[in-house]
Amino acid sequence: MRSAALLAWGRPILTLVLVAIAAIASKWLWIYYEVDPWTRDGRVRVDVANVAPDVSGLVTEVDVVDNMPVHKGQPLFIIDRPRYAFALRQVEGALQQATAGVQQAEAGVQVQTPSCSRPAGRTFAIASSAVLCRRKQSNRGLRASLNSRPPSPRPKPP
Amino acid sequence: MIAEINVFGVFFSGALATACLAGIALLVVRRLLFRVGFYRLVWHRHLVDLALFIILWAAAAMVTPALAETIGRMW
Repeated sequence: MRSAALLAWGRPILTLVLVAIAAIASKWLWIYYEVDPWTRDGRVRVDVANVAPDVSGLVTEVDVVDNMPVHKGQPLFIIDRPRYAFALRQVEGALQQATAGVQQAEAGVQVQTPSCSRPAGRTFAIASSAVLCRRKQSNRGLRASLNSRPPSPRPKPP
Repeated sequence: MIAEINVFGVFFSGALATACLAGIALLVVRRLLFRVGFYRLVWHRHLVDLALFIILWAAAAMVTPALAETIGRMW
């Protein structure tokens, strides 16, 4: 009984499933043979992409061949690596020089503006700052003593 | 896609060729399905035949370019 019912419903279902697959297949066939473009004697005449580098120089290495598929970010060719490496080294040297100049200038600034309690990094800085401090303090003391005196003709600076 | 087939200077549509292939395949498949008893399980025999033919046609159209390329490489 149950198998009879299965057959009664199964027959149309199986047939219709096949027909549905055939419908999808026929649509694909229509697109494949009628909609998609095709040509009997087509020629691709111009298929050249111009590429331009950001910097100038001799191309020392080409990493691609004709009709090779490439991806975004892939190096196509290398421009004059030794010369640019040399330029980089030169610039780095200049940077080092400039940094040294800055350090030197900072040391000079330390020498120029000492504070008596501040521990300086270098012996000559300590010595000179101590000297300067003393001189400044003596100046301050002199000025204070001048101010405390009754008004008088302005004293000559030392 | 194989658009046309050159038979001694006469160009035939690729669709015709794949349809012929599908028809030949359908003869074989039908005979096999008869032997298995598949046709007792279906509703309208000829509708199923037509559906099978279209499916085989699409299969032939899908397969022939790769097949032709392989054969061309072997030559």
